[in-house]
Amino acid sequence: MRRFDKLRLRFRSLLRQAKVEDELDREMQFHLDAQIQEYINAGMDPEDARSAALRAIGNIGLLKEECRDKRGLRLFEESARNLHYAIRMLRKNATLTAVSVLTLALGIGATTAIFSLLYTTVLAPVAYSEADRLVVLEPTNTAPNGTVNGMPWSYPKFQDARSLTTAFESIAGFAPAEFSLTDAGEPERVRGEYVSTSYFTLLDVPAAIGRTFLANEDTTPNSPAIVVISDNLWRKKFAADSGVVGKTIRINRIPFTIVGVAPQFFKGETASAELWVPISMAPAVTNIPARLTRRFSHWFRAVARLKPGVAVNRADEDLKQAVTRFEELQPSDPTRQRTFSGRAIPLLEAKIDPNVRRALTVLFAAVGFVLLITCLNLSSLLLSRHLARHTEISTRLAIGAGRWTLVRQFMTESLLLATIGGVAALVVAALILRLLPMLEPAGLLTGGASTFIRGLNFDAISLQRPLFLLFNLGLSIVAGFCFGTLPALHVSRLQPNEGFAIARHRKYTARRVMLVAQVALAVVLLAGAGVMLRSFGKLLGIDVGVNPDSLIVFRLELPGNLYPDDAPRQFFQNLLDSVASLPGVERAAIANTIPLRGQNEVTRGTVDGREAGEVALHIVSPGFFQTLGIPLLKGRSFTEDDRANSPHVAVISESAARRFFGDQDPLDHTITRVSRPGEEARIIGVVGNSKYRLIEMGPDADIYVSHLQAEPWPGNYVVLKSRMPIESTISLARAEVRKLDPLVPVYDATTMNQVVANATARTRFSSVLLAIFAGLALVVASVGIYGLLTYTVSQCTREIGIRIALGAKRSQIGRIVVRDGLALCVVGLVIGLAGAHAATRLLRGLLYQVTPTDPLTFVAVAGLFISTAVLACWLPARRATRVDPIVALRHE
Amino acid sequence: MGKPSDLVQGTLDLLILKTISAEPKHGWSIAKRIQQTSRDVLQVQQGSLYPALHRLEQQGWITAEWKPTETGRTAKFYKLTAAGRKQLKKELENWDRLSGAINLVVSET
Repeated sequence: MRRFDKLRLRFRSLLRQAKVEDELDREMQFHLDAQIQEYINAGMDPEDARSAALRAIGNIGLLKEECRDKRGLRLFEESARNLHYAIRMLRKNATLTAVSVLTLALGIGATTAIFSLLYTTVLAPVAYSEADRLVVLEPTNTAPNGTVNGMPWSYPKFQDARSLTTAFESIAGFAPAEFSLTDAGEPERVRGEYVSTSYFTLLDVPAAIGRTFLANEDTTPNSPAIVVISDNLWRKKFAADSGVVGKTIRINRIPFTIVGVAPQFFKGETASAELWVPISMAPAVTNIPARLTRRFSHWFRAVARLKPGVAVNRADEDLKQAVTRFEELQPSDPTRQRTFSGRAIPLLEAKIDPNVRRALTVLFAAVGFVLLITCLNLSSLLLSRHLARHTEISTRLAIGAGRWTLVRQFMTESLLLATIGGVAALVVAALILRLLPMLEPAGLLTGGASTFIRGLNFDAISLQRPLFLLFNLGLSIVAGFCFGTLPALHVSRLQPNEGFAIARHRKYTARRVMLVAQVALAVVLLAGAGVMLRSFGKLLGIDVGVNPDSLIVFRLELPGNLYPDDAPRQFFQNLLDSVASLPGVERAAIANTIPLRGQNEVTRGTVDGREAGEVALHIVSPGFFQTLGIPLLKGRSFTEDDRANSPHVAVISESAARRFFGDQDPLDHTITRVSRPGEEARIIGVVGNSKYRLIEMGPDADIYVSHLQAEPWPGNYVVLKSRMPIESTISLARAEVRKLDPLVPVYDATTMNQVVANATARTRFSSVLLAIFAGLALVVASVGIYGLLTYTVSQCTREIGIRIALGAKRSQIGRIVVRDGLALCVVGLVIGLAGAHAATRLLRGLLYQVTPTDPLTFVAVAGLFISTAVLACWLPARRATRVDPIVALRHE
Repeated sequence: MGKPSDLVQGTLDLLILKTISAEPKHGWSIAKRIQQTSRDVLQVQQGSLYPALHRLEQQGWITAEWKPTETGRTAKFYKLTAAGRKQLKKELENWDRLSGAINLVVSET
């Protein structure tokens, strides 16, 4: 408060300057008059009294000045003068100013942009009330070869955990799901969530219209058919009708009554939900009657609110005990090879993918480096410019300018430069945020699928948030101090006489040190980017096992209740026949999974009656391998004759063959799924490996069966090899689907090339950005080298002239200059490589088959850097060799 | 810059604050009062008095008001604020401590 008062008084003094001046005059006048009066009273005549009083009071002007000073007015006046002066200086050196502002804008802008990404994706708190009491509960599963985290729950286990724990106020379950909406117009597939009815109350999200779910509304299976819809869906489907409550919406063709609309900000824990269905409706909607009773069907997640005052580790312990108790009664793994437990993690922590956090942290550090290099470079630039003003500075020092006054003046210039740079940086940041999505079409995460983990959402980032503006401003000021302080202090330490004589022959030690630092930082960045690029290159080199060219895929999901028994098979067979004859379509296939979508239908299998562990099951049409370009290595593929009534057959992948049979011939052995003991299938062929899950994972043991023979599957991908563009092909295919059933939505249409591109998106994002930042650093550092040497050469023109006049060869002169520059670069390079050796460890976890200290990359970085440095040194050296001795000697 | 060399640094603040603690005074009368009370030992020069007054005002320890004097002219009267009163108390304590200490040293036989 006191401080504020002082500031207020100071501002009063500033704002009412005229009044203050006037009062000062009157006060002095009063004093003078009183003095005169005293002298007259003492017997002087008025004229003498007046001059005696004036003498006594001394220099009134000086006195008033000192009073103003005490009011802190001078600083304001001086600042205004400094600002005025700084503007003039910046305008005078327009080119230099433009270059400085541009580099600052790039540095600060990139940092602001990456910060906004880092904040929204990693640092931003969860937007629920008392979010620190929210935790995610997960079952864990420890096998001899490691622990599996991030697993979903099954409903019975979730219920057990709910009843056996005491640390939680309430627990809610939620599962991402896709639903078909078939009310009006084109049938549509939307994302949503199955939720237990405690979900909305637990998160403390009340309905915007109507209500959310009531406690224990979800106790009876297959009721109640009610739904809460999102704000977006409400606007899109119901034109923001405020009387929407009570209306009916068909979800997977089952009529649901709308009970409420969620608030606009709320998109569920999966961040993409358009509607919420009570979990008790899941069996009916999915048409899997045992959805809620199967103990080992793990499909949904749990979030809980801690009782007040309960610590997360206490809750964690509580959950672990609960899981241990119910596992003793009903073990998930009777062989006891795995131990099951659970864990409670703070909601925010659970929502963040450690690799995304790492990637963004690395990028943030990288832009920080770029900014630091920029500051060093500017600092060096300003130093030489200030030194070029040595005559002016010396003169001012000689006639009594205070050193702090000079420092303040130079700092005003730097801060002004930084502020302009900061404003320009906002434009740069906005541009970067516009361009970034180009690198990242489907989000940093698994191909845009709805997940619980926070992804990168560019639409959600607004630079107008006060936090980001504040960050930008703060960063600009810090940068201004960063690059301004050293030159200002350095200059103010000049001796008045030095400016006239010696300054130009200083050894520029400060600039040399700054140059070495720039080089070192740039080398660290280059090494980091190099390693990332190599990793990216390796990812691109991975054989996905299919030929993605001109492949178009889309998905269909049939409502199970309307397509019982054999109906899905019939539907897909008919669809396959009709799309195969579409114009431009060369081949067509269907499959329950396609490569790189991150999904696998995992099941346990036996080979020749022996337990064979987990296998990935693919139900495909006979033309699948040919359509996707998966090579047949042995035996034969499926034919139309492998049908339900003929002997069961299977095709396996090369890696499955190796795992089950080693070097033996797998043909004619048998493989059986544990879940379908009657269907012993004879292995008829071996095909090449393809990547179904993440691209960087090793191949699974893939088992293919024919859709004509296996159990009917309601949801499938359709794969078309088409010469036509995707849009026309999809609209033709959609028409064919509509002929078969007008209410089945076609969704997730994309090209296989896009799927492959998405698979490397994360590495591409980090490596391309790092490479851009490193390139920027290299350019700025090179400009620094160039600038320093050019300056040195120009300051040594006379010396060079004398040397040439005395007979030095021009090549020798050039060599001296190049050697001088390169020596600094080599020192910086060595320090940088040592730093990179330590810093690239941060990249572990982001790299694929490259060690963080990849020697080849380090050598390449050194080579690249030295060649750039040679160029940056050669240009000033060439100028040195062209010095004309006559001109040089007259130069002074 | 004209702080009287025989005044211990910072003592002028104490003198001013003390002098106006009883009733508001203008600059001239503050100087006169100090001079009289100290029996002409302490002569405060305008050169230090006015900057000190403006500084104390800026600190928020005293405030000023234009009021008529006994002769009828208006002058700038300074008076203590609550914060100034606190400051005066602090400075008085300091002074007591300091002068006591000096007395101890110089009166040692």
